[in-house]
Amino acid sequence: MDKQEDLIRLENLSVKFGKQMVLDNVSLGIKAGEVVGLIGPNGCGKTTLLNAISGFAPLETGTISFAGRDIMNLAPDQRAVLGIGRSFQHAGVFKELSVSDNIIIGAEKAEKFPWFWMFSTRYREKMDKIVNNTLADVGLSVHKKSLAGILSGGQIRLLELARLQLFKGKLLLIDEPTAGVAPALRQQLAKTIKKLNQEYGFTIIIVEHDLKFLFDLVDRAVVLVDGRKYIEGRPEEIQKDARLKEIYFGTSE
Amino acid sequence: MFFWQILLNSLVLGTQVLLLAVPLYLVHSVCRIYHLALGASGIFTAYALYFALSSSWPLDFAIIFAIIIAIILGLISYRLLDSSVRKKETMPGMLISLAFGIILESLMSIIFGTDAKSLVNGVLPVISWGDLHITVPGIITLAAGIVLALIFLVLINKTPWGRKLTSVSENDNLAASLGIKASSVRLGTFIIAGLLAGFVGIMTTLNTALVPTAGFPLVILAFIVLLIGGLSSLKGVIIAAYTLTLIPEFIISYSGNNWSLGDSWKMLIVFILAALILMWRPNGLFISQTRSD
Amino acid sequence: MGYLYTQLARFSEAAIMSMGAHLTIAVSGIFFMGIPVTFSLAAYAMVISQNFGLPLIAALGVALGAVLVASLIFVLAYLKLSADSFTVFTLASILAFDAALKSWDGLTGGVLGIAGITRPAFVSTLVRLAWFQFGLAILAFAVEQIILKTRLGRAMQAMKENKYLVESLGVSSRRVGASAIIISSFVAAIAGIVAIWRIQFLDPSFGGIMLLIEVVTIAIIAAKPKVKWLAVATLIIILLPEALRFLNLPSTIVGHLRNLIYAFILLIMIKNISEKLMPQKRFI
Repeated sequence: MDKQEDLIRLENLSVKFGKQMVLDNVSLGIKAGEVVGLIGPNGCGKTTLLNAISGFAPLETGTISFAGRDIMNLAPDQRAVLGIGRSFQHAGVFKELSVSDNIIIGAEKAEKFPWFWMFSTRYREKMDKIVNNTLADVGLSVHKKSLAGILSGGQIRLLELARLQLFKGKLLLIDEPTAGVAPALRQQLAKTIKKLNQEYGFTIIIVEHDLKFLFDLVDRAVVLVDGRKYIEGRPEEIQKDARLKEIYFGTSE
Repeated sequence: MFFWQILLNSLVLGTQVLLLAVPLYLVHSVCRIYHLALGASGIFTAYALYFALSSSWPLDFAIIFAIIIAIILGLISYRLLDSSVRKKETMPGMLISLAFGIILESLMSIIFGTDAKSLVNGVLPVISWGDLHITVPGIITLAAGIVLALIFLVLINKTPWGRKLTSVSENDNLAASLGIKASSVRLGTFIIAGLLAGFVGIMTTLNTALVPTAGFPLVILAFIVLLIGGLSSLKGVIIAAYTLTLIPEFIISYSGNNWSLGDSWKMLIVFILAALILMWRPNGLFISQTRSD
Repeated sequence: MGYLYTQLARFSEAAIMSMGAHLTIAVSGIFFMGIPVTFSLAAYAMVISQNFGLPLIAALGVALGAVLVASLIFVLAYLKLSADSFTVFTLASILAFDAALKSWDGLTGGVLGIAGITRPAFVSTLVRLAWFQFGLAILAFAVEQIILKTRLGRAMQAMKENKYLVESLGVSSRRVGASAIIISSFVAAIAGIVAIWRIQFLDPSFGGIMLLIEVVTIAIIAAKPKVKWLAVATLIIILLPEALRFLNLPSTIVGHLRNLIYAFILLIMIKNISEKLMPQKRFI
């Protein structure tokens, strides 16, 4: 693997909470344009890995480099500006803002609108178009003026991914997208994620428990167990691993 | 005193309380900490003005000096509380704020003494309109209240800064993932809070005497308003501010007590009223309309 | 000699009260700020009852009854409000109580207060009173030590760590919290009564926010739930202002300087030891 081509590279990452080692010496390299899945049993450190990359978890040891640049000293908002986008397990949208405001808050930063933009007709029209198109894409146009807090879990997830479309970045970290989403909406979700990768060119790391959903989407999967990398490879290869079945489906121990 | 005069007085007082409750609300929104030093901070700014005026500085210099002091106090508060905010420790943060307020009060007592001072010599000009009288600071307070309300409504709902404020209040990690720097939003909030508190400190002490201990009752009253109004609703804070001022004013005026006794009764009435309302609605009168998880 | 006995008395009063603050703040993690209220309420209730002619025992009964009512109101607030709101609410109660004292001046003497309070016969001299108070202080420490070893004490410490875990183990955190508040209120009341026997003059400045700062600072310095830390912390805080005597400052400033120093210590302590006060939480 040519290290120069990795969009993001983690070397010997360790994260500790109090006395507990949550991530233990994890190394991973991901090339631009890849979709990589991150799986493993609960508590194995998947979300923590995403947190480490986006800057919410301090590293005990190890380095992270993004687009050839060392990012460990950057705050989360600085990493976002650099191009690392994130969706969260439990929170995806601002419930106190309206649906359209949720899009606007992402867009005005991403499109670098000047602070006085709402006084200019030209910018207002541009933003209107962005909001309308984005909401239409995920079927939430009817809720444009409502507070995001009234949306159901699945709709929140869609809104969140819609907002990520506008993100002018290179990497997306998506945390358990199907959690709390009805099976019917999952197809839409998968479509949106594929679009983010293929049309918008994002490199994506997805944490997921729904293996069927995940293996359809990813080029490669990495399995974490107890904070360490267990195996990684193409979905077809990994699925054959006996211990993986045990981890996910349990044995009669 | 007749009805309309009482109403007018209550509106002025209510606006004063509101002008302190709003910064308390904003700081709580972005840090989840009750900034208990806000009252003392406002009074400290008033003393700064007093110092400038009694040293015979020209009025505009004095005012600028007071503004600078207010901003510095905002900065100090931000620095003191920043580490608690980052660690999401609201209770220690609140105690730090309380301690800072006491420090300010003690400094004021040591430097200026505890005897009452007046910011202006002589009686304040009064404007009369038929049987209604209102002092000039009273008018300024009302005007400031209206202007502020409009500014905030526009600011919070329609501008990028307002959106950033709301997003950081709700979820600062999510906001950071969008590239929004929570610490700048917080710094800005603390400075605005310091300025507003300074304004209230000066307006309050123009009407009554300037003493070092005047800050604490102000901030506690503002806190009660916040609690009653509901911690997540600016609209609730506005309504609570006027309700909790009007009711005691009317009770006192119509019960025939003389004025100086009235002030003590006021705090007690407000407290009892607040306790009763909280028994009925522990989360305040207005809660946000979002679907809960 | 009188000076030393006064210090002994001051130490004992602070120790008794701080045990209550320690139990609620340091051990259970409940930031209950109503201690000055019951401190002052007990004193006022007792003195006023005696002025109405009640004998000492009856007056003490009235005082403790009043404190019981107050502590139940605090418990009600504790059960209904969130932790932060409860804390500021109890802070507000200090102001409200002060307002009540000044309003009901027919009964309480208002701002001027009540003078010439007599000591009961068995502690008529300062020496006897100081030793009596010291005995009570030792008793207070002993009681806390015992509580910490019982199920209640363990539940209090567990509650500070993780309220929900405690509930899931079948312990009612509400009852534990209520117990801490009630114990704290009563202990403060006892301190108030013996303190007024020493000072013999009662006015609204008795107790108040300055008392709160003193007591909370002690409780926070003694952040670990161990009684010997509490004793040391009390000693330090009580003796500190005595050092100011040697500086020959004008008397108007000394009181405020003392408050400044206490508040400053409180600030520094909280900034540095907050990890011991609040357990580590994992967020996101």
